[in-house]
Amino acid sequence: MNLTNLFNFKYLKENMKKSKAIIFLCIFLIPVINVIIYLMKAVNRNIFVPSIYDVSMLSLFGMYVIPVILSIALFSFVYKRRSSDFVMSFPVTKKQIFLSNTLGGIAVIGIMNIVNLVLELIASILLSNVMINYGMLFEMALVWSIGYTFVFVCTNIAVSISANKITTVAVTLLVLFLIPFIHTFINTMAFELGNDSIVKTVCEEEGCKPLNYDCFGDKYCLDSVKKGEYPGSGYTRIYENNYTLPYSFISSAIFIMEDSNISKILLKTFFISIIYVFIGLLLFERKKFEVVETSFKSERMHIFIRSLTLVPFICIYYVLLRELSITIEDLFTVIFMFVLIFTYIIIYDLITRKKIINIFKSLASVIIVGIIITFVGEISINNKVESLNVKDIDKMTIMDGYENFISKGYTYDKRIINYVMGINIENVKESNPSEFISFRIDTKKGSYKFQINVDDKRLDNIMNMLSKDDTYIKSSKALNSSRVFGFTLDNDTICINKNDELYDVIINKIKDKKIINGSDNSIFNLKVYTYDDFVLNNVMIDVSFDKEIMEEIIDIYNQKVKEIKKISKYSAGSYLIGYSNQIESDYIEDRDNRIYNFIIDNLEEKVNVNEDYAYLDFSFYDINTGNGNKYIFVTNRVSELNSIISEIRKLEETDIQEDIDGDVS
Amino acid sequence: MIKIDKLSKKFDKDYVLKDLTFNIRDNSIYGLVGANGAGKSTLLRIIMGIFEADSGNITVDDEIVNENSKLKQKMVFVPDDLYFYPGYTLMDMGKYYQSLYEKFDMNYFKELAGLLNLDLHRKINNFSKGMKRQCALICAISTNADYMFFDETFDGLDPVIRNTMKKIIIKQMNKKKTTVVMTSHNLRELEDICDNLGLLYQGGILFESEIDTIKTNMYKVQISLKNDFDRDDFKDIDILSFKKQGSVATIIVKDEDGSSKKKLEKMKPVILDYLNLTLEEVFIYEMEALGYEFNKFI
Repeated sequence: MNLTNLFNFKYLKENMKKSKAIIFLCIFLIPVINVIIYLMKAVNRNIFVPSIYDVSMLSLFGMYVIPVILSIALFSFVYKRRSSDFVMSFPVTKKQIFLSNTLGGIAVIGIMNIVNLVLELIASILLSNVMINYGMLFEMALVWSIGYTFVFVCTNIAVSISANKITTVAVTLLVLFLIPFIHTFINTMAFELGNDSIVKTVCEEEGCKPLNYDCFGDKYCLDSVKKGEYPGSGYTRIYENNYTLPYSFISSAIFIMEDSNISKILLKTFFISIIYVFIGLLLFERKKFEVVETSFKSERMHIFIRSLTLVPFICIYYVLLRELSITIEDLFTVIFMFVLIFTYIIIYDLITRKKIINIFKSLASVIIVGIIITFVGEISINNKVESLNVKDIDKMTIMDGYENFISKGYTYDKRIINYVMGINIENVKESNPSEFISFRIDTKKGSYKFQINVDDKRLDNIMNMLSKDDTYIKSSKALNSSRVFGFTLDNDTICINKNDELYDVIINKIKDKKIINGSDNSIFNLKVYTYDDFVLNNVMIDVSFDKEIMEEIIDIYNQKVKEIKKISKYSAGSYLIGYSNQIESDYIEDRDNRIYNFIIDNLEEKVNVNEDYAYLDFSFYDINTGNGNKYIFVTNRVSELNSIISEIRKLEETDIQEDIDGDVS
Repeated sequence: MIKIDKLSKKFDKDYVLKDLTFNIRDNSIYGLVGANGAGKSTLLRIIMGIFEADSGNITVDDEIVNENSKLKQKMVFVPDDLYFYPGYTLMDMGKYYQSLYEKFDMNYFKELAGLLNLDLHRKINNFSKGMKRQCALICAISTNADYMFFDETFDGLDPVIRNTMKKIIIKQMNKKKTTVVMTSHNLRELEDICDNLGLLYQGGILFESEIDTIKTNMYKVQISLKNDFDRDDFKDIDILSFKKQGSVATIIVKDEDGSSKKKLEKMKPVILDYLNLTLEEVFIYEMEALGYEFNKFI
């Protein structure tokens, strides 16, 4: 294949030269603002662990704007008669123009994301308080490159069929969002989001029958249980969100559709982008430059596209109308809706075609769209699932209690599924579960999630069954070094990253843990940061199960406390005192610098965790610079510290008594 | 050679060009005249492949223009409504053309700019309307394309520059054997430069001829005889128009073999003057002869 038949780089160079101001803005605006936001976020924190959105917040919004501007800039000649005459008269074919501009636009998007990546990398390296997974930055560049490219090629399709900028934007929105929007409308039963439709669980096998199920004498409940039907709902529907990238972000934000797999979304977006390039090419080769400065090549096409733009409005109106009753107020709402729709139609016509299309044709288009949406909406609502039969569950995914997906694995074992469902049926009758595990179940009619609260015996039973299930073992995403990229201590004030010796020690100790539960406020809480499938996660792990790690952590705390020796003029807040052998802790004010002096005197002491120890959790401010920091000091000299504390308490009591006496006298 | 065969084009339901058929021979200047909306610009855009014909064919050197970048290297078009990239200087435009036309002659381009006193490094947006037209024309001429299409060619040019530009076009045609197609709604603009003229009306060529033939075949004759006379006295002469005021008649004579003068001299006229017709007059009388009123078309 001769490349010169497909591309004309001389044309591309000149076309880009013509649009150099916009291209320059596209390349630098987003990366520069991104890095400024990143720096602003990072400088105000002790340790900053950024997610993809922290380092590229503006890229998300830019995805819906920049590629559209870029495409319109590169194809700007199609909107004016004289510019289209000028460009189309040159010895360049439509195919060359389209493919060259597409390639050029994708190159600009690529350069923009490389600039963004480089700036973020430099910022991350220069900022000492940033703990980041560098792989995430590269994946960020990939995510935005694919997302931007997709929006760009969608706009190119719109450019190929529309003849003014307003209709280009309208068609771009349709290409980007219409099909997934309709799918969401059908899939969510006309936006019945969050409304649990399942009202009963059906259990026909013995394995899933709950051991303790109390109907409290309710006859309907007792009759249902005899039939193996257990009323009550504890399920939350999980809606699949594997659309293309631009719509997925919106659906997860607006429709709270959480079941997304970014790798799958990226692949889908990438392949659809390739298909869209060819569709755009076919349409551009057939583009009629005769209709430049109108909307589309015919009035029929104009009405068709305009009707499609009405779909989201009418879907929302359909949902609203279903909620209405026949009252005067509601009638007014209906009339208001129609007025709104026709106002939109008139404005759309005036802007895009500079005249108002026959009102009867417009009315007919609204009625047709309305009938189709009502029909689709009624069908989807009638498909509502109201009962869940345990035997229909194909797959069960076990997650940690916080749904962080850090320890996630799945099973097809009916025995495990029945056992868990039996506990769940019991659970829904109880309130406020304290210890819980989250589950996701997949059936052919949909996916749901629920939580169960379990005692130690049941937890052991579940873990035992899972430990014998090969599918679960293989699929279990336990903590491992490839996913974990760092730890933080003491509420993100100290970080342990891959360069620290302790990092490997901790990784080796915790990697076999399958289920991770939250922990109390222990100073041995490690916040584990993982990065997997484009998502940054963290989970708290209490590492007090291992003495070696505990001593290492104490050493890190005490080493950090040495910083306070360098501060000449300081202000210490109150000290939180805790002990190894008791959960409660107490606050104390440092009188006459007694605690400060105690800390300084014992900084070099090696702490043995096999003995009793006490810790002081405090903040320390340098008055000269105004900077403050948080510290934890750990010591085995518990009795010495206690005697200081007793003295301070006595002084406090004396002062209080003096104050009371003074007030009385 | 440009061959146009049964070409039709309509916008909405109205035909702009209908079953248009004519040829433009190589190495000639073809003038296309017609009233506003006659379809001149549409025809040029179809020839250039910007618009697509609804039916019929156009071939240039026996090849179809659409999506044929190789053929379009031999064609250049200056539309009536000019376009230049914002912020571009004449030099930038020259380079733009140079990058897309293989035979673009930069030296000739600079020479023409110098001849017309156009500042190569001044932004074109700051030029006057006429200067912009000159810029577009010299860019096109410097491409050395075999076929040049100029829409409303001399629109906005002052008489001096118009003559200069005509000389440049003629020189180019002679030097490079170029075929030039130019349109105008003003016949006088084209009469001293075109070899052929076609009158476009209601989507078709109403009248087409070589200018030299038209001009040499027709004469305006002023005649007065001793006796009273009328049109019937000149039955053996091909008369397109006869107007008599007093004893003097003005006759438009079509004379292909040059015999009319001898015939009229035999009638021993008191006054007999043979005058050449302007092209506009030729068209007017030809149209009248065909039963049309010329002012409707131009």
